[in-house]
Amino acid sequence: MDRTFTESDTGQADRNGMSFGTEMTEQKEKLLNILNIRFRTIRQRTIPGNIISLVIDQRELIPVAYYLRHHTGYILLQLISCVDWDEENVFQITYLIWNQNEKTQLLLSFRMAKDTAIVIPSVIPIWPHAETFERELREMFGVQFDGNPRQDESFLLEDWKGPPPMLRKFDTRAFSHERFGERPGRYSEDTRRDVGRKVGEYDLSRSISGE
Amino acid sequence: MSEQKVYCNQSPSLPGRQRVGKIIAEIARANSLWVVAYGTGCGAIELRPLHTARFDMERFGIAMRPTPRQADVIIISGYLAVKTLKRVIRVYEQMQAPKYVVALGSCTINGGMYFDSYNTINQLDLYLPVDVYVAGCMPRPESIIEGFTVLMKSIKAGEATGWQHYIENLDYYRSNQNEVIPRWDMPTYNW
Amino acid sequence: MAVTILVAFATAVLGLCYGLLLGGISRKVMARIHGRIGPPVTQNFSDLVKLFFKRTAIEHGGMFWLAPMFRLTGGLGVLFLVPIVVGRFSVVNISFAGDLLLVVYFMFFGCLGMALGAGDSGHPHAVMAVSRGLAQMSTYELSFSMVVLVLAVGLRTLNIGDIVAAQSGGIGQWNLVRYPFATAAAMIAFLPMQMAYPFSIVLAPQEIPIGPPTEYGSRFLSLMLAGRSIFGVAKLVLFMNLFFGGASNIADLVMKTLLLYLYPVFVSAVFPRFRLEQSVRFLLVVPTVLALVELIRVIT
Repeated sequence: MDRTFTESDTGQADRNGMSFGTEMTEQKEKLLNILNIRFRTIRQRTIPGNIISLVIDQRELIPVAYYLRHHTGYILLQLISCVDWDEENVFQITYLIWNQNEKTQLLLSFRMAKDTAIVIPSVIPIWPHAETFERELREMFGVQFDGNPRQDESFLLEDWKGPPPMLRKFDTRAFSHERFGERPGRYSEDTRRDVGRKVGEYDLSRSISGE
Repeated sequence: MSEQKVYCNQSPSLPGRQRVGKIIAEIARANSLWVVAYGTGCGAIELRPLHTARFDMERFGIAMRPTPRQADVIIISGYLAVKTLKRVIRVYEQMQAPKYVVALGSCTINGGMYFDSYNTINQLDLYLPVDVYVAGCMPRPESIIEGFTVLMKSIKAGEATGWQHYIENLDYYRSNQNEVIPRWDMPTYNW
Repeated sequence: MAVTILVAFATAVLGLCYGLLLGGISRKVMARIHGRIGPPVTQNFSDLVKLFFKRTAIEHGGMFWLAPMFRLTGGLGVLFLVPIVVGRFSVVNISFAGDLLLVVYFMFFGCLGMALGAGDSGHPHAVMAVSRGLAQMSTYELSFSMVVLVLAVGLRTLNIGDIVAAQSGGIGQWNLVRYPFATAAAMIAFLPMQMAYPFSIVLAPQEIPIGPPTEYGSRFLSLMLAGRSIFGVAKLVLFMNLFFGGASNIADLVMKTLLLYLYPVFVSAVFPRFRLEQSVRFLLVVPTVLALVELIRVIT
């Protein structure tokens, strides 16, 4: 969060340009008020800085996305990302949307259970370049999108046969050793041990920001 | 179909033993190494300073050529994804004999930083015959020049015979390549 | 008879060696201008030997095989037709009235053969480069032909030996001094002939990777390197004979050709490359106007 804000952005940035806490409250509240009137399942997660994070239900994805694209300043879809929560057996899909006027980012996320045969509607009619992001998720995680015309083509991995490689339960190390072999005599050096030897003692519980 | 007549369907063969002018030929080959200008991985960034005035590889006679038809050396600069490996094999087979392979970085030796990746190979010499390994991650331009010096010495001594090894043991290399490359749809070149 | 064959053979071999040496010298000079060390001056010899001993496994058709031969033939033809040394001890291989026109034909024919062969290789880059190169060649051949016309009309002969003889008697008699505009036009037309930098449209390494020799490798390339060296030496000797008084002994020959060779090297070092339309526009206007001025001056 060390992006420098000018006063015209928020009206409340401090002199160093750092902006922690909830300085965006006015804009966040305005947006949330509008969204809560129209949609039923908006909840907010607290994240500091110029990011608004909303959790919705998967069935309201298309109406919320359409409203954001055409009726608010959040018009640029930057990424669709996926998190594999293996312990809870869900995928969390997040849409990152950028507002150029206010320089804020919106994270629109929902969870879907892995076992059920849920197919996510594709947002290509709203943002046409989402085709690339959805193809990537299809290849790496196995998430299906309904309405993506090139979904079954290979994306980056040519002729890949096997489980989707970014799943948590896919052991890449075992796969690599089994398929590509391992050079005898290879060893890994753990840099934490190396640094610990030099520094004296390495305490993992110390955080970087010093709070 | 019309492309078929350009490719050769015979298996490759070793050239006859060169008797006349062998010493002159080896000295000339060592003094004028032409490299395919193909940066296969992240080590290609260390090849660019070699053109500049500080490290100057042209004083050794090394020049970069844009086409594999005119080159002697291919530099595998770092990790090789399976996709790139297919293309690199095609480039290597298009080069004319005698040809040499210089492998930079620890990724070609034992997988390096990407030893546990599902998409990069771990040992390069299962798939291509390597003449010189240059260790590092990435090796600095001085190390690359040292590697070329070693290559030139071994050419003059007549020991850089990787390409002959490839032709003689083609089945071994092909079986390794087909293990990792799922769909081998490339023609066989006559080299 | 045997002596003439021996002299011709020696001309060809020594011309090749001199051309390769000049190539090495130009690489060394360019490197020193850049602040580097540069390859040794015998580098082109190593390249030639290495390419000769490489295995050749490419086949594209008849014209592909013949094209380096055309270039070599063009170079040798020009080399045999120009008088090398004209003085107390002359080295003149073939000389007859009208051989200047034959020399111009050989120069054009060499490049054209190369272009046809490159076209036969089927590589799109080669075809693109060939069309650009021929477009440029047509523009500089225009001004060069006008300069030849100036010399023919002014000196009333088309025999290069006679042109050299007309320049004997000191620097004041050189065609450089008698027809300065024509010499300037020919010097500008010399740059694209040597593929020096503002006009190096044919082999443009950053635009079309390597141009016509794209599919050529190993022994073809060694032939092309030899042809390029011989052609270079032949053009140098031709220009020296036409404008700078010819050579009266070997030392004179070496000095004049070396200085004449370094001129495109120095121009190359400081110029970037023109685009094709800029080059065509320049070559259609500037040397043509200079040659035209000289032509008018000579006729009236």
